[in-house]
Amino acid sequence: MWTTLATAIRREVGIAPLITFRICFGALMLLACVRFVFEGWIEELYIKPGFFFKYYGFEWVTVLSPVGMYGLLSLIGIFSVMIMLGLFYRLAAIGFFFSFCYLELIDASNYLNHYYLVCIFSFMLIFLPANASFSLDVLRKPEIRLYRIPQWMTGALMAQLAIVYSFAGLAKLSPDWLFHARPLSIWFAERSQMPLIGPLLSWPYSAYIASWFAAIYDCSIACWLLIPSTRKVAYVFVLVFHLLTWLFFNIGLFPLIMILSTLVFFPAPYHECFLSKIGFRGTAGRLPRQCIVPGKYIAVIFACLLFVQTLMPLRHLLYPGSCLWTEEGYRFSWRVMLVEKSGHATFRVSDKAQGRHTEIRNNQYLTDFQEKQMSIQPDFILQFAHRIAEEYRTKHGMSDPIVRVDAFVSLNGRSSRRLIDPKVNLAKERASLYPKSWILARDKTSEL
Amino acid sequence: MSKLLYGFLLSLTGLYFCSCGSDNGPVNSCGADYDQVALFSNYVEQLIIPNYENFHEDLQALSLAMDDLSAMGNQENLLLVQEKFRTAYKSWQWVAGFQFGPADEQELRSSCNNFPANRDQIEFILAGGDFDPGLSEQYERGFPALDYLLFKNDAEWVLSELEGNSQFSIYMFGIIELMLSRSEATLQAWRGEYGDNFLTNTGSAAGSSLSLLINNLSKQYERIKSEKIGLPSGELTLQFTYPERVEAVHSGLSLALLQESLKASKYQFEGRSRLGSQGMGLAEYLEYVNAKKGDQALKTVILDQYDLALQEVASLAEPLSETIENNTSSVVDTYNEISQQVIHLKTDMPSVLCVSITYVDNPSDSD
Repeated sequence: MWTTLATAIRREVGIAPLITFRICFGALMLLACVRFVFEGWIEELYIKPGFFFKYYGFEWVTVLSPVGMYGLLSLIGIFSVMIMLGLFYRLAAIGFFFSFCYLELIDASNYLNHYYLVCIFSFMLIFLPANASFSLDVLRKPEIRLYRIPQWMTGALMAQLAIVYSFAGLAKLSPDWLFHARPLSIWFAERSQMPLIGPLLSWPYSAYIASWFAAIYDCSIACWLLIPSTRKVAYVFVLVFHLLTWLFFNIGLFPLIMILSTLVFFPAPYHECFLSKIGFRGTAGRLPRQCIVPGKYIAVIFACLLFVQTLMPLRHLLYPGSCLWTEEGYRFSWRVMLVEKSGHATFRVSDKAQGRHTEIRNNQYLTDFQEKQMSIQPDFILQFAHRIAEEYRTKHGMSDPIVRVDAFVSLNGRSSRRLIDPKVNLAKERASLYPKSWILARDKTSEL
Repeated sequence: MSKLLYGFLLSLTGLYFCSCGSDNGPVNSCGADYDQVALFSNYVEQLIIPNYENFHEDLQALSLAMDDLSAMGNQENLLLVQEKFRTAYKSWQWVAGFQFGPADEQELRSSCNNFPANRDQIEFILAGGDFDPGLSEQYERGFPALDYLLFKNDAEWVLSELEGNSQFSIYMFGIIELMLSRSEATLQAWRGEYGDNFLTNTGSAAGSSLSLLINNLSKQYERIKSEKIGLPSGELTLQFTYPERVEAVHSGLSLALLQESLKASKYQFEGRSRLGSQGMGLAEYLEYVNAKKGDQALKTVILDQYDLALQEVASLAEPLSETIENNTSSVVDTYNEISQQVIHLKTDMPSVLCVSITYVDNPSDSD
């Protein structure tokens, strides 16, 4: 079996799927940039806040000046266009990867799974010869033209997509999702007044049907897309599923990203059929040579990447308790649209030497959106507690500020529970990836 | 391969039917089948419109008393104005939890009750500075400014200002006229199209009537907590007290207004009219969805907490500004008791009724 697999991934296939992927990716990212700027999100997310939540290990990433932020977004936009057109492609892909990652690393409270997916895709594009056909680079340097590529190149993209779907599906196999239709029933109820589909959404069974459909879809769609005989039907499901989520939820470009990138599952002839209409020519040719590193090493890099990608979503197993509650191991795990959470965190600072204490008004430091994110995510609560400790150390002369929090979170329509041990001095707790002992367990006795 | 998948599908379907066998099929979460129209009409007809009517009438009475005072400036007229001021200020507390829709458009809150008042600006206006009530800095108008004009100094001073300083009455009437016109516009909107639409704006999405009611109840409660007692007591400011920041500092009404606003908040939660007649309310809605907090009904938890807070407030000595200085700990105890409720109103109630707290806006996508 392993030898057949090894031969299969080395088999040469037409380059067309990779070309479609490159063009769609570039175009979508351009759209994303334009949308980001025109929705005023730079202002809202990067200029207004005075404090930014960091990713562990990336505390050094800082926000740029307003001009710098608009510059960064423009740069990402320009790189997107270059990727789309295949112009100075390698440079553009590298530039895109770093500038986009930088943007995302500035504030962790903006984390979205599909931005993370974009980071991964752009990383893979750096190594793929996606400009080797139907690109301005080929016009510039005809010698880089390729007609065929080894199958593992598009295979890696497919594997990445399969990882996204499968882990999203696995995460849905939980009692809340399957047996209580939460959070879908909550979101359906919120939307029960939508024209036309509103009455359907308020029918009590629809949330259950949708939950089960989504779980089965996510768990198995990658398989259906891989099997040639079911591929076309599966793609219709991809369209229906993502268009529905796009219609119901405020999830931006995610549906489009998935709809367009799953095209990579189709073999070259399908792509050639469409691409030839806009001038693509692809017949027999040769294997890639023009890569930054030789092909074998690329395969190794991709294998490592995919290996890490399969482990990342499982890391929550190393932490005690449900990761829906503790959020430990929650990010980078394709837990998409999985919980409805709201919370409220009240911080208090005191100092023994000074003998004074005070309650913190969160909105003096955070935007409403940041406060909402912070109040449900323990690592943000810790970061904010450190920020407060710093403030009271430097501006209010506290030598040893003690920061405690009353944090309550409500998960999937339950009444709220305490999230953080109120006795713990958060100023003394260090940020780390170890389990956080100060997160309180959610007792299982009063489930829905 | 595909056999395996079909097997998987089958087992999932099997699981589904097993799971449904245990209870009587799914129920609507969040009480989506609750009679919201009846709920909203109780709020509009028994609380919102009567409370705004009351408020507007009390402002009219205050304005008339001011006319009399300016016509024949004597001690008796001044006492009457002060009395009407107290009545109207209390009535404000009964509409303060309904500052959305037309009230929001009219900027009613900032026209009526942004405190503490900006003393320097008020003195500047009295000394002949420009005053355009509609464009003012907002901390020099409404009840807090009137509180300053009518109660800061003794009766002699008010009467002499009225007689000697034309700017005084221009300022005073400017304030009351703005409040009158804006409360009237708000009331008219509720009696008209806005009120009608409110009844049928069902569901729990952002912007639905339920969402507006819950969000405003919780927002107003947070204001009561931090503005009326948290800031002056020093609990939000490293225990440095600011007694002069209490509501109605000069008329000494602070505690009465605090009591009144908590009662209004409780009645708003219950769906009870100001006069006390009980109708459909959020409390009943919580009961309908069988909302629990621990072993207790969430409704009971919230009502008990309101009562505890009201008792604490009742135990405080008048006036609040002096108690803050002399018996800070009693004020802090009250503040802590009031704070206990925030989580119930801001997190528990919205979650079980599927309403998101929308004053926390989402400036991005979610996933």
